[in-house]
Amino acid sequence: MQDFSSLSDNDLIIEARNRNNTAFSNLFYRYDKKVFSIAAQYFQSSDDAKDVYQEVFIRVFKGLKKFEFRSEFSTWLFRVTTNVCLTHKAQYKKFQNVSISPDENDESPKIELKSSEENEPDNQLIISETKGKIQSAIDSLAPKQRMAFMLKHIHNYKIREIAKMMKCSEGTVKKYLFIATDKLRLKLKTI
Amino acid sequence: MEHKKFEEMLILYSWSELKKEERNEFERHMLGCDSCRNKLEELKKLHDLVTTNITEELDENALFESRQELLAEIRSLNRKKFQFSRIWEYLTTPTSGSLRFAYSLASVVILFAVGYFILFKSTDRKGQVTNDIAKVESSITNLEFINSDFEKGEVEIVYDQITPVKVKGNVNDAEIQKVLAQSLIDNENPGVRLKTVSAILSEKGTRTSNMFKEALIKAMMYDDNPGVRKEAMNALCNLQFDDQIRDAMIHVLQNDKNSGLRIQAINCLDVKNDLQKITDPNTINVLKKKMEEDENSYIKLRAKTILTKLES
Repeated sequence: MQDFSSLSDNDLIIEARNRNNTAFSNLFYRYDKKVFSIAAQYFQSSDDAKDVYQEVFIRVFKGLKKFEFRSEFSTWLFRVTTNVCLTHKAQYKKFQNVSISPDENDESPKIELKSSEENEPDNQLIISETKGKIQSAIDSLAPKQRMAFMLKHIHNYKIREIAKMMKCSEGTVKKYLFIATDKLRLKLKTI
Repeated sequence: MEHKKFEEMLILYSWSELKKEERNEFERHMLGCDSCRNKLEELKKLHDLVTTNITEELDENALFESRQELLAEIRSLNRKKFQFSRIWEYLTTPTSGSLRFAYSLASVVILFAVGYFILFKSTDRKGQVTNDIAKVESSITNLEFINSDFEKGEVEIVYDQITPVKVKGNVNDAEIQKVLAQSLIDNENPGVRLKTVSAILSEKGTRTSNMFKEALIKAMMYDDNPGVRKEAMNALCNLQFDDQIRDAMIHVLQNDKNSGLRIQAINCLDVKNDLQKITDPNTINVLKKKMEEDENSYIKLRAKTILTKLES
């Protein structure tokens, strides 16, 4: 049995085009954790991530014949991933109804950490509230701003990589990131 | 203007996106600037806050299930492809004359039907579309259930309600200027952004709100479409020249990769405006640098001309 793990991405694509399922599965195993992770972080939902995962790889499978090897396979794959994330309507996301108002008149309780022996359940609640506030702030960003922000801060991609994935210029990515950072600084300044 | 440059570099520095020379320049600046050091601390805090609270472990079970489902789907697709290719092979190699005749007849019928729908039915369809658009007032999207207790008949939902708004008026109107200013920054379609700038240019005279001017400046400096940047610059050149516009023109002259736009910027600084407005040290330094280093000889000459005028 042929060892596909030593083949390059391009060689695996050629094999996969000949209906070699093993070649295709070897190819997508190289990158599927990252695809799943990007989708899961973007939607904060494993179920939405599963939907996106299916759609991405089915599109890639169907598009293999037209792949012209002008770019890296991974570049194309992650571009499809961001595109599917941006167009997919989240169905399973849990929404936490927490206030993120930065107003001075905000009457939400201030966060104080107490000693762990005294208040373990309270500590958990505070951490959960903080997480909810941060997630709500990120969710309030426009989709492309949110995607650019997550790719930069959570997945640590460079701006030029994000530009390729989102199929836009580096200037546009910077614009998304500047706006996202300003909005989050404003919304999260009480934390 | 000088410090504004460092404010832009600050965010890129926090993301480790500056080149080595820029990084060194910024670090030297930061040694003497409390404001930038404080802002950098804020950005680091924001980054830490997000990454410690949002980063999660990969759900291995969900990933495993996804892989299994995908493999099943791929096998199913491959089976269908195989069956289809066998049928196609059968159909495309007819062995008898009667089968060939049947194909020809079927092709004619299909072509006729397609032509009928395109030529005769499309006008009806257009009319129907017009009526449909007229009926829709607003639409609901992104509906999500937050908490629901269907047994009690209680639901808590959140949704976006999008209502198209039609406005007719003059570009001098404050409300219209507000909408246009926002569109110039946010709209993703460069054609729409261009039309927005043209709408502003259609206004005779130089009465323009600050909000509008700032939107034009942002478009001129940061829009990724050179056509939009050019039109924004045209609009700004027609306004009353001030320090803000001057600084924006200098930014374009220094940073825009498009030589046509740099030429337009330097022309705007020279021809249309009072030279007294461009005597600040930063502008003079930029002009000197352009005179020596710009790759475009027209810009070098123009910079030299302006500097000569200033000296006299």
